[in-house]
Amino acid sequence: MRFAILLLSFILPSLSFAAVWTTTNQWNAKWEQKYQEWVAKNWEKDFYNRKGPYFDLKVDCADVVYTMRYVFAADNGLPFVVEDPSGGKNITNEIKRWDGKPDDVKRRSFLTYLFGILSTRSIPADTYPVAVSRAGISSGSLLLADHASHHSWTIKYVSNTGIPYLIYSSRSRKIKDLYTRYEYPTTSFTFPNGLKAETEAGFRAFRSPEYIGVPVWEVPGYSLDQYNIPIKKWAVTLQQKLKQVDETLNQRVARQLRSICDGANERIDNVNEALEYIVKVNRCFDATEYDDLSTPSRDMRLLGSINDLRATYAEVSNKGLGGDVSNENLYRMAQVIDGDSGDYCPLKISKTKTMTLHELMVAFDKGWVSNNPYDFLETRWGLSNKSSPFAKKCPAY
Amino acid sequence: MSSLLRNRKLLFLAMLVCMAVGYFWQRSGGVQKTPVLIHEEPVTAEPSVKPDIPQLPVKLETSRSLAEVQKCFKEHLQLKAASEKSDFQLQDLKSVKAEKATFDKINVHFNSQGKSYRVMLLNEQGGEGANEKVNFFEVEDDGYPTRRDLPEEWKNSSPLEVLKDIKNKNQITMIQKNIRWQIDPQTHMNFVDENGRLQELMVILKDPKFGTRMLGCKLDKEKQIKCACLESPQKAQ
Repeated sequence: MRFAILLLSFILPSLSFAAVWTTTNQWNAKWEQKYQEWVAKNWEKDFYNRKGPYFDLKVDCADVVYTMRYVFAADNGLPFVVEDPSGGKNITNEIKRWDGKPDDVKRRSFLTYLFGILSTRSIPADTYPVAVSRAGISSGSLLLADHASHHSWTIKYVSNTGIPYLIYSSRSRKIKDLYTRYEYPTTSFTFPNGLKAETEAGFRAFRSPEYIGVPVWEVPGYSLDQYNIPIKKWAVTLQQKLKQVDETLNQRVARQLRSICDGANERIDNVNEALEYIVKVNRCFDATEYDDLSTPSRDMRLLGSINDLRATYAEVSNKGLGGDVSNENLYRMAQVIDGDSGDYCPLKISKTKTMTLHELMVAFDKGWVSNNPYDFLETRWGLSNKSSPFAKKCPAY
Repeated sequence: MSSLLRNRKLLFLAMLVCMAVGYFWQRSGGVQKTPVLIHEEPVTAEPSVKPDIPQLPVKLETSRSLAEVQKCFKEHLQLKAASEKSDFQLQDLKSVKAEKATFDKINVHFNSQGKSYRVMLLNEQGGEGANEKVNFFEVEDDGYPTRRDLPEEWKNSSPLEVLKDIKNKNQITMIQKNIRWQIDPQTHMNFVDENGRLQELMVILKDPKFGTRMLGCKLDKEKQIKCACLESPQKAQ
């Protein structure tokens, strides 16, 4: 009996009365440095596909942003504190709601709980705008889009050529791998209301717990200098300020080709999901469903990437810079822009249909690419401009 | 024998006391290092590159009224032509509010049938992501909210229709409103509470001569308006 009591007295403190995890460290410059190193090394697109407490979670873009900070805090006994966007007390890892559960279950449960509470709208209260420097915009910081676009990206690293590698999700769902981009998103999507501090869009970093709830301008590191950049030169200026070495023309072409290929392939999933959903429900969508399944923002970003490559192609042609680009990338660029034959990044949009990136570019130019989730497959990809019966009769939001 | 037993009981009790002390010590954070402010020493891969941070607030002060906020603005920024323009806009705030104010976010806390609920109403349009315009939470016994499905009768309602419904049917315990004025592209957001009282104000001026300057005010815990005037060292060309 006594032995049983003794045993219980050892076990109970770790199960029944514990927070989600015990805070044993505090955020400081050293831990911020470790956090950056951890993100650069361990934050990968397959994060939710790894065995462990976070396997197979359903995530949207803001969930991914918060997860990045949460996991490092949990693994290192650091406090995780966010403002309750519904107006209550701060939400912290000291929450006792899952007392008695194993540690892994508690971690997963708390994170899932946070996903239900937090969103891109809560990010400003938990972060602050950073200076345009490699210290401010770095591994572990994030990019937040304007409220109108409500999107966010995590930053795995900023390359020595000044380009951010972004890892992110889109709308809330289970995905095998997160999306990645190795470029600056378009300003038309990120800052549709202009590059202004009041939109709270831009590069931001997490606040340490003692600065949750204080005016943002009191947070150490707070800076508005990113809003002094002319919006038309946003990406170029940022790259100039963040680079350690110049990006070669060949590197730029490779990056732009990769962005288009990644963006177009990610769109395949989005379009097919909408097509499957309309067959399943066979009715008009409500506003949330429509918002979830339409792709106006994604299409805008993809077109932006195509236009970037087009501009580079024109520069190479007009200035006779072909010698600075590898033959492979020249051929690929010609396939996308001029429609030359080749096998670069075929888009398998269905089991039976494949299209090229050039065909997609032409479809965009015609204005035929449809972001309407009710439309037929061919219409979504701009191979036709016929609207579906649902697209004709159902409201677009 | 009884002495031995007593000693074992004492030993057992001592162990329990030790475990309890250890447990509470652990809960209090165990061995903690003195907290150091984030970025006190800039975290950088390049020690020579320091973050370009605006100068610290030149002065902090407490004021209570919009007039005093404007005074803070004028005194600390000492702008001339530019400030006159902004000053006019600040003086004109109330009329702007009546005409152009749109809510950014409204939190409503209310009780219904013995339970506490919160509704977060967002004003936004389009885009991708998972932000619903009406977010509904139940407050659990631990005081934290849990997201719940939107009640059926609100599924096709606008945020303001939901607010009206809550007002009609429930006991409201708190409303927090963030209202945004669009005064000028270069002037910042303004938040007021339900009584129209200033909650938070940020003004940004981009002056070609003096660079970017900013005034920020927010109600502190004692409901005093705390203002900070910031000046970016980066001058416009």
